[in-house]
Amino acid sequence: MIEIYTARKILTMNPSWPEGTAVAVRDGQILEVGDLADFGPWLAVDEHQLIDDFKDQVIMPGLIDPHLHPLMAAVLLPMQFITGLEWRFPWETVPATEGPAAYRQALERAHDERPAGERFLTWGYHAHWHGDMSRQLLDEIFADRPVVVWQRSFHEVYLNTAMLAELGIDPEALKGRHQIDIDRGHFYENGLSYAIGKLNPIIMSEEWIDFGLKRLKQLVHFGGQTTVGDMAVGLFDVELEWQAALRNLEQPDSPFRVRCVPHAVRLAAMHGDHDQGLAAARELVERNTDKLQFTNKIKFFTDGAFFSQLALLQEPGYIDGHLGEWLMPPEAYEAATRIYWQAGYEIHVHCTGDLGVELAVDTLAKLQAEHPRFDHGYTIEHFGFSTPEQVTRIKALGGQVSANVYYLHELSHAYGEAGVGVERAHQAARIGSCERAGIRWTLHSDFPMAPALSLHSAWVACTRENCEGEVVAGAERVSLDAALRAITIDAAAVLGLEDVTGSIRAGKSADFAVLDKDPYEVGAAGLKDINVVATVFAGDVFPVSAG
Amino acid sequence: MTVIAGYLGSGKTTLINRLLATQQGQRLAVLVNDFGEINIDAELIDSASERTISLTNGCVCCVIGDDLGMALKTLAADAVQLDHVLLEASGVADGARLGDIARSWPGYCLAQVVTLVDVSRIRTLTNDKFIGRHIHRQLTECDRLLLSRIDLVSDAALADCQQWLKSVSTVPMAPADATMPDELLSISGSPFSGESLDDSPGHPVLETVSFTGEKPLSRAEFETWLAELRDVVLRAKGFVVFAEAPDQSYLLQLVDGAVVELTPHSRPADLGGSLLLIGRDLSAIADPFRR
Repeated sequence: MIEIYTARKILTMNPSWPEGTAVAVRDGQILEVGDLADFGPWLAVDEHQLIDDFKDQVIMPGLIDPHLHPLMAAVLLPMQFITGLEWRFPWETVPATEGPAAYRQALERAHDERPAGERFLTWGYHAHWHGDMSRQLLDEIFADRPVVVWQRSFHEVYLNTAMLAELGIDPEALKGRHQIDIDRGHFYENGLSYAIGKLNPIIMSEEWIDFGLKRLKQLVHFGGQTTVGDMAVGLFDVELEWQAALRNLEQPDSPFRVRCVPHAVRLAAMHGDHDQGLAAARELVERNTDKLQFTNKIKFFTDGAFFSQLALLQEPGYIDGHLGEWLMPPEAYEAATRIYWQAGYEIHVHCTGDLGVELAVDTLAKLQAEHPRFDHGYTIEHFGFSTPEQVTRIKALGGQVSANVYYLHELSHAYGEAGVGVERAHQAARIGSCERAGIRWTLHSDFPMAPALSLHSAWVACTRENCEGEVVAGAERVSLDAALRAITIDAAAVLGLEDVTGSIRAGKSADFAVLDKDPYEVGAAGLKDINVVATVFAGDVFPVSAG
Repeated sequence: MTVIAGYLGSGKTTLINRLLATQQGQRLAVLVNDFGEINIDAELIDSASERTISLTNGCVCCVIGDDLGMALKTLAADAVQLDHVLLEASGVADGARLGDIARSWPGYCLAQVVTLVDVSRIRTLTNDKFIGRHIHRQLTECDRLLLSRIDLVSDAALADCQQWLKSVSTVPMAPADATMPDELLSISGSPFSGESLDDSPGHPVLETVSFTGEKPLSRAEFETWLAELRDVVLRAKGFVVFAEAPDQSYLLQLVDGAVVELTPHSRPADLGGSLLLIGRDLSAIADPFRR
């Protein structure tokens, strides 16, 4: 049976055959895209069914978010989001909550809406938006209800008295401990890891994770994505993550595939060293299922997190003089990547600051000199701060870039004021230069760090509009066409899936995002207002219910 | 806790090996990045698992992986009576910052942060574009500099290096080989501990009690007894035999009052039960063997 989908317009993202109005699909595979009138030869050999539900819509290839963290998302998503900026989810649109009074009202509403005594965990609090937080404030609002307030950066929590009691934490025993302000119920950095140890039985329980992954499935679908990258399998625990993925993401109701990229340092820690880690990475491929697929890709990290200002900077560094952090010693990074490089692996490396990027690029140069490779897939992930000179070298060495543009959307204003100054803050995610240099680049969310809405990311990339409404480093804006490629065919190529998905052409998987507007008609400024009406994954239709 | 910082190849493992080999009387736990270079005489090994090695002299080695919190938890579960923890920092870690964990985690305090300095290449390292500033931070933010690889340089070069170190750091220095273990294990009140150790309210006085008995216990009664430990016992470890299976020993481990392990063990059942508890206000705990 051949299914024929008709549309007002089909944008194939194949420049050789750019548009059509009908696409024929059999057993989840695209047979032909173009004009229905030309499909006769196919229809002569098989029965067909016309699906005209989308005849007034626009069909694009299924969108791709090539870097997110499913298990981290699963831990976070069961919590109630109360955030300084708006977050759109299929189950609710979380409005921007600005100011201490509004934040307090949101907490009071959460309390009133819940059965007495039920635990309440919320994420998104930030002093910048929401003022002071303390155990007393939470006790005042929530009385006996156990409450956890998780700060937006993930590095701090506040627990109220009832929650301390539930976790068996004796406030007296924690008096005076460093990075714990027990009077205010505040745990941060090392204090946070102590608190997380106590919270783990709740937030790592199977019930909690399965609920979180159910929501992850909904939001990936809502964003029109039919392929995502899990860009650090093993971040928590390989087996726990794999079992959770099998229970949830391998199921028939899961409308996307996951490219699984293992965390090299965790593999080495589990198996002894990087040689044995490589052997383990090769064995992971044998587990591949329909939707969960490892390949010859591996994930490394150079420097610390962008959100907590632990990215490593070249001179002149941070204005306050603090240093960022190496996540592994540079010599160790070089030695470990050499093992994977010589084994033909494609290395994805988290780099948030320009010193982190510098190490990644210097190392790539050494590896190329020792053992030259073409089309090697060495990818700079995140690409927070960088220099124009690094873009030139990435191009020369055949590297690619997967950028998080939400950095500039949420933080360019704040980091201009307190952090690194306007010049560097505004040029975060230097992707206009990547487009001009002809580097293959893509966009990701790093969810839960930023919303997994590919069209929103494309909007930021094209407009460079931050949350204050400023256009920052306009010269780094990208073209509309490049941004749309970045969330489709170029993302597929960065994940090594360009023969499977990312464009609509004969032979690829029938992965579509059905949109209510044509991105080329609404233009860059309109990208964020396009709604995803449905997705099609491997030939199965998954409607998006009203958001 | 003593934190041992220093770049790759600066002699951290050598120092740890020496401490393990020469220390007497103190029970040490050593948290290392990997077991690869830790040199433990096979005769000293009491038991070993993927993440920990227990020695017959009471010391224990534990791999950090990249989750220090988990390592501290493992330690709490595996070794009940420790005098001191040695924490090997990764080559680029900020030792002082790492020492913060001892100040956060209940039951620990920070003794010292020491930095190993390879005199043959420290100046090259401080000029390195990637790690220079981090190495510089290791030299200034610690309690003691221990000079290693002295045999690789001439006397003149060593003198030069010491001169240079004095110009960049006010921290006292000494040759690593000539430093006695006691000096590194004493609680010197590190400036980086940020608190007076004498009256620190965060370092509660812990008590230890032990119970032994040959008689097998009723499992139900034992579990009732365990539930009573929840609020007072931080750690417990030991063996019990249940009346329901009098030929089988069970290994018990509690962390923060919760049972993390109660599993069959090869210990001969005729040795009976033996339990060690650490916590606060243990006087009210009944002897489970005398019920």
